[in-house]
Amino acid sequence: MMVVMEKRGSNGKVPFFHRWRRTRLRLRRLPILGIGLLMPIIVCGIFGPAFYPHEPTQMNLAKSLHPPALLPRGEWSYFLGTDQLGRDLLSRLIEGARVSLIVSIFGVALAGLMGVSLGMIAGYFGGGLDHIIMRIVDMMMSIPPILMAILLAASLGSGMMTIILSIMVIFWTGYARVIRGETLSVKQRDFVTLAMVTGCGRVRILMKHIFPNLVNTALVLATLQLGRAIIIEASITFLGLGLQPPASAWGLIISEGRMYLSTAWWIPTFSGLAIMMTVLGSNITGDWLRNALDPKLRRI
Amino acid sequence: MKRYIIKRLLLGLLTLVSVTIVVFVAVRLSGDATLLLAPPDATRAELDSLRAQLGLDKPIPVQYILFVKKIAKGDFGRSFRYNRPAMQLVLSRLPATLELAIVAFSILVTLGMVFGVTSVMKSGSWFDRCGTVFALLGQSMPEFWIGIMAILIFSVGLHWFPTSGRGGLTHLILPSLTLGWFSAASIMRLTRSSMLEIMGSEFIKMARLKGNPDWIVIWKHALRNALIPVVSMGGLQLGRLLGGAVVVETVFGWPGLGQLIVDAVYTRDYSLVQAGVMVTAIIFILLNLVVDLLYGFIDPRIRYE
Amino acid sequence: MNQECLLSVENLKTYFFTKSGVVKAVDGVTFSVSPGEALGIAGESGSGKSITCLSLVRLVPQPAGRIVGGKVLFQGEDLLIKKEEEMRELRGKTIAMILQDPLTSLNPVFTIGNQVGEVFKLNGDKKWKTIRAKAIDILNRVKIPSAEQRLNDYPFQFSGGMRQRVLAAVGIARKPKLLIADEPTTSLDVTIQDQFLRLLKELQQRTEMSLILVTHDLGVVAETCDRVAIMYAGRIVEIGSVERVYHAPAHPYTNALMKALPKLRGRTKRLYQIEGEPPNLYDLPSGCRFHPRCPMAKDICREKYPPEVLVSGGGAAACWLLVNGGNHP
Repeated sequence: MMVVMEKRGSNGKVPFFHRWRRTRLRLRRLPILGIGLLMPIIVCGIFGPAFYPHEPTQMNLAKSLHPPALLPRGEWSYFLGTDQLGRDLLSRLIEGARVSLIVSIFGVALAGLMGVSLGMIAGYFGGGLDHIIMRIVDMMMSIPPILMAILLAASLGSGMMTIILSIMVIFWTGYARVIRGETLSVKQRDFVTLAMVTGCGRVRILMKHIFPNLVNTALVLATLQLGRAIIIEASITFLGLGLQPPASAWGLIISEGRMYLSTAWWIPTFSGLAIMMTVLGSNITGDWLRNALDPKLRRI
Repeated sequence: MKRYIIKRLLLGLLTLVSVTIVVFVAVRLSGDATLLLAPPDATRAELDSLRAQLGLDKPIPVQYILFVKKIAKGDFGRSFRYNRPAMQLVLSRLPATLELAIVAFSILVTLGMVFGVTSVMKSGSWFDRCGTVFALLGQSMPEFWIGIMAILIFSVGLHWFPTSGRGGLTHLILPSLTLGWFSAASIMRLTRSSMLEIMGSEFIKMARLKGNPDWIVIWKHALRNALIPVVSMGGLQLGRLLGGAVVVETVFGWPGLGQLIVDAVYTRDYSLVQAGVMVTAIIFILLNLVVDLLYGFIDPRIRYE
Repeated sequence: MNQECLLSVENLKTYFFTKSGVVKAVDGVTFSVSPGEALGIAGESGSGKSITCLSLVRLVPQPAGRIVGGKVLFQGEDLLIKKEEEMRELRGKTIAMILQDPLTSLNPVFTIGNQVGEVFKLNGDKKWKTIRAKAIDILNRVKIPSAEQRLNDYPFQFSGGMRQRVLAAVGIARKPKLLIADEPTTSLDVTIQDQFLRLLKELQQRTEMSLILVTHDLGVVAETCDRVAIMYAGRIVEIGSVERVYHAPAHPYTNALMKALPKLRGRTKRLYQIEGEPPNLYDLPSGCRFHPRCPMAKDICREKYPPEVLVSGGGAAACWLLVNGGNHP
């Protein structure tokens, strides 16, 4: 109905000043909250060791199960308290950030690689290949994610590689479906037909013409999936099927802290808050990215 | 309509077959399957006999057929830890999980949809904004943590509920709320956004032009359309619930199938893992079938494709 | 104000308040409709025709849109000050409206029978049999073949023309005094258009119903309406009987529109084109809104909005050229 009319010059082009102003307006709506939550985690992840108040693996049984600072028996140097072996909680959490981020990012990236490729192939080449790939997707999606991870852990043993593999196996299907749909719609567009008419090879069309139009969608999917991947990773580790002690993964800290729930509430609480911060930050950023780049994905 | 049902049934069957393939493959991923399926202290001789019994020395396709034949009879091997047939154990623990899942699902469906629709009706108000924040938080917390926090606050702190175990209503509340929380948040967000989109449609304007009161416009005209993507997502959520049950059962010590499977993984009781995963997947497929049929019922355009 | 008037709109103003500014979609519109009369409202996209209609029934899209002024007197009562429940009573029963796109105007998940029947339910009929019979009857009246079987079909199973007829059926079902049709033929093929317009005309004449027909197609207006109002940038620039306006347009805009119509007879070298572009509704021109595109614009056109002046032959137009014989700087 009513459309914002831009001042157009006599040649129909929007003058530079207005374009610049538009971009600035869009950027102003940056998700401060999302990035604010994510940034500390990412910084910890990359520069972790620089921030440890103590060595995460350093045990000090004399200080076992000390509460966080500000509470009786708490100390400032053990800011968030200690666990049952006297290890500083804050340091363990910082270390855990690295672990969680590495696993999730790798897992989601690999899933993305696999899912986008297969989705593109399915969408572009169609026919039997499409059918086969989609049936495989349906098949994989028919097993609840955690169950799949459990199955893999049971077969391959627990550990970092298994978790990354699990995440890859669980999440690639999401990419494949969406990217296939996108490929189908991009395929219909005129510039693709033009490329085909001028004799471009099929692979070239895929990489040069179709893929760039999918990047936005893939990126948005990746950020949305990151949060879920972290939750799955934490859940698997919590169940004892991921990294093993004495590693400092968040899920592990929570699982160890379960036994001391009534005596040392800070152990599971803060580690869970760390997870929540990361996932929330990633979700908020993902939502913003989706609204900015590709609103069609609203339904995901 | 009939064609649609038949198509869906066939698809379900196909998925079932695929699950058997996945489970079949998973066992053989790490090399010698016998090692997985036999108790850890089996002797050479026992291993060999098991190998022959399972036909593991035969070519893969034959193995698969043997495998499927056995499953069809319900024979998943024996749990060496409990020394009973795996299937029997699984079935005995199933009711507990179903109880949890059904209650959780009812909660999440009702909560999610009701809040979603109400948020739209009071769009922009504090109710709406609170709801959105809650939903966002709900989707950012892992279930096991919600469970632990819930225990911390309501059981240890306030002593309102018992901390674990299965029993009466009080035992049921925390675990089912924990299980359904995440999904309720997703459903609420989707219902809300779907409703908002529908409310801008021309046919809603038309419904108003006919002179319908607001509540009919929302609950009759808008909702049924808005539910279409929600039902579709509901199927996905069921999967999450079944997976989540595993975690929640562990946290709350709920003696269900999920906990059985996890324990089985620790103790390397692979026959049990196999049985548990298969049964869960079957239930999931059945539930998805129901969701698909519901979907066809709500949206006539699907039926006539 | 004519005592015979069914509807009398006085200085209606509906604005949209957006982040980028205020859009004066309807900015002082005045017209009237007598019982049994067909009034056409014609104009380009964005001229405010649809919003005018939505304002009449108070269904302006919110929260951005708001009726900020004027009166809408229906049978003597001002609709703008009525309570919402009272408006709801009127909608569908006394004042009905057909929307533009028949596909999106029908709820895709309910049968046609359900949606048509709903209207009768709102009318007070309770028995399912009565409702069904009435639905079949009204579908027959809008000439939908095999109405009884089609009651159980869904909107997507109907063709565009049929869907539009269903909308018409819904519109006239409760025998309203006024039917507003918002671009009812825009999404139809030309042949179907013709059929539909004839149907509308027939229904209107049979029931002494008044019709407001909104369109951008001057041919449609000529076929169906008795009087026409030409809208531009939120205001009516000319109003009068179809004959008078088409044969002796008084406003330069109307004149240009008539000139732009391709003619079947005679040879035309080039189609006439109105210079310039439709105005930016966020930033309307000063004075007469048409002045940037008017070949006969004078200085005063740029400064003040012209008053509405009666035109010989009937009706009125708002142009400085008609005031004082056109003697203006």
